[in-house]
Amino acid sequence: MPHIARLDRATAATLVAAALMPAAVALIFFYVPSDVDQGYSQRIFYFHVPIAITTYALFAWGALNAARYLWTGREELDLQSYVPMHLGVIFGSLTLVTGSIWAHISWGTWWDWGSRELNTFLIIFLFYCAYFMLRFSVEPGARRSRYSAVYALLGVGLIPLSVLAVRIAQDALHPIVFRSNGVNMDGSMFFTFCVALAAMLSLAVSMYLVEMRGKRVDERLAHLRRLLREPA
Amino acid sequence: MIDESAVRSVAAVYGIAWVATLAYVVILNAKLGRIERQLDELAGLLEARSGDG
Amino acid sequence: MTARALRALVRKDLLVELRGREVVPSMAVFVGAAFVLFRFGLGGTDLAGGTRAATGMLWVAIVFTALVGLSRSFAHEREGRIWDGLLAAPVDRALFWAARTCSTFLFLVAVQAVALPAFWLFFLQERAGPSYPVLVAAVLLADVGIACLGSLLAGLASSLRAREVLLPALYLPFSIPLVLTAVRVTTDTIPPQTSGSETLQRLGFLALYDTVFALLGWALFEYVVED
Repeated sequence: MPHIARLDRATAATLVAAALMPAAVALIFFYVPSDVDQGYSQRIFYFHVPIAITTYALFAWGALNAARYLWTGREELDLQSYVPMHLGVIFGSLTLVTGSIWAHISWGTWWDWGSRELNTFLIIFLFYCAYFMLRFSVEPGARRSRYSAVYALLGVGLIPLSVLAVRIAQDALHPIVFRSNGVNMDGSMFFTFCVALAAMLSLAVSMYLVEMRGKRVDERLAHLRRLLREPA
Repeated sequence: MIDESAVRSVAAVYGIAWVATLAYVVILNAKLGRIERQLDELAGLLEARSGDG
Repeated sequence: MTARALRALVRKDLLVELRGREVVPSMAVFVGAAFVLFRFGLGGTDLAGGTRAATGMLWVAIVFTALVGLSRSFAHEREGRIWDGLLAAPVDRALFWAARTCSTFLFLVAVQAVALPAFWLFFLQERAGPSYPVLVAAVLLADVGIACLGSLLAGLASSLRAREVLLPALYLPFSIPLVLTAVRVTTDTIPPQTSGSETLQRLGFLALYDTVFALLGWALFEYVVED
């Protein structure tokens, strides 16, 4: 049966995430030493940066499939582009929230207009929201898929330009708040970071595969209903 | 300066939230598996019916 | 042949506007009203925040005025059902985008030729303002970027029912990096600061922005008008 292969993929991904995520949490809380300057609160960094990276990865995947859709016209690619974008909104919101919490804990402000990362993410988040507005303004069909794909690809232009613009617009003297660890991470910190990143990515992948599975189930249900209505 | 206990609780909430999300995804996946098996069954029954009818 | 087709299309747009007088006058009125609002919003006789705030507001006004103009873009073609005839022509579909970009650029420049002096009158006069060559350069560069992306998105939105609401929502995230840099490049030239290598770098960014969206618009427009 053809769908057994897919069953394995979604389940496999969730199993991987189920292994990595608790491992990452354990490492973050019990293994890694506290940062010398920022203390315990720096541990949020191990959540925050992987979430941000995952958001970018999801967006890249969604944009790639959008390009493939426009190039080949294959319908399933529309869904394969939409689902990562939609997961990207979720992870993007979480990036903003974790960034805000970290800023509050570290600096006492709920939002840091001086933070390059937060500002860039704000622009990207607004773009994602506009993507959804567009998607919900068109009836399902080839036109919706095409318009979504075009807009997703416009985002590919927006993101590097936003990163650049935010960088340019800020004073050269502004301290870089969220990159205090940079290349100075020692072995255990780097290892923990990698595990956390792998955990976040595997969570995103399993959410993607499970969502795709759910949509396929919906389609099969609709198909069966149609069959039932037909005279025998 | 930074309230250590508040930080610890925030960090704990993070850990719990992520594990809970993961649990949700795992459970959802399992339910989908069950539904898919039931759909297979239905599809088989329908084919059998249209075969006889 | 492409250059001729392009010229013909741009001429058509300009003629339609000259006869109809829909877009440019409403943009001009809009920007004037916006300036009055901003002036009173910032503080009647005493300008709170000074020239820096005013220059920032100028860019906001430019973006919103452009949106006002773009909202009617392609409406003429869609309503008059001219699209089918145009699409039947044996030309690269992206040509329509290119022509619309050119005419939008010209409309923007026409409105700004009025708006910039008005800006000076409302906000600057005796006060020290930004370096005018830099301001004009930034405005022209921004116009190219706005025209390129705006034409693509207007083409997309024009076929949808929610077009008036959707176009601003779709466009505004893209305007943020543009405005961010443009404001920076103009306010940094307000005395006592003077333009320098950073100014060139920022103007360079605007040129990069234009290039990116010119390429994307040219590549993607055909997918917007497929039916």
